[in-house]
Amino acid sequence: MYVGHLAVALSAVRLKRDAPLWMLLLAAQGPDWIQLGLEVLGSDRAQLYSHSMPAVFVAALAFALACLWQTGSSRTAVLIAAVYASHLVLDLVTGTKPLWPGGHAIGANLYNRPALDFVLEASLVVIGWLLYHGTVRARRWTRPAFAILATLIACQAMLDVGQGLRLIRNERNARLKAQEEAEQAHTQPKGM
Amino acid sequence: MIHRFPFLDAMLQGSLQLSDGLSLRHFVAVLCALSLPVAVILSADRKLRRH
Repeated sequence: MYVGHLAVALSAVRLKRDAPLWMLLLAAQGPDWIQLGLEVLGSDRAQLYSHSMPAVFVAALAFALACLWQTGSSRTAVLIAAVYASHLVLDLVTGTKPLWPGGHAIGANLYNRPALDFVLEASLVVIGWLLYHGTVRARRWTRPAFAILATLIACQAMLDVGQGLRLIRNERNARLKAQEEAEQAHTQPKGM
Repeated sequence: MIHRFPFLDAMLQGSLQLSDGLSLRHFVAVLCALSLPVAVILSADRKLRRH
């Protein structure tokens, strides 16, 4: 999942209005940042160390403790941990992840259906945006408010269009390869 | 001339590998994809809270 994680962070503001938004956003994307960092360091198990259940549990706890130290609020700390943990649950809908070391990657892998993925994530964004907007006093269609909604939906659209084009290209390449192999088999002299 | 500088050449072609399986192009793409929406939200939030 991509912007759906940020929608969760926006929704969480409704539950605890004084929770630091930057911390909620960072927690919502936490496993992805950890994965990127590990990939830069050359780890070949970056996804396991960032998105598996033990990894998410440890990191969510660390985030909660950091939040407790920063804000002094245990409710905010629990909320941050929950937002962090939601990352894995949502990723199981759109992708496949290894939940345990040595375990197979599982998940509904909605990325293979980009249109459906877009509908799901855009819906989450609209819900999250509406919940978040209830916590600020500004009118709904002010420029900054609209910027949040438009940016998130545009980012998701770019990701899903890219994914759709990649799927079409892969399918075309597979078809061409199969065609080539069939032609080769056809032109090869019999009995060789 | 650029081909005399393999590092720059690889960087511009997007084939520079930061580590096994991670190219500079991929790294920059993911970095932007993660940070851009967050930057927009935080900036807009600051403006909305000021209203």
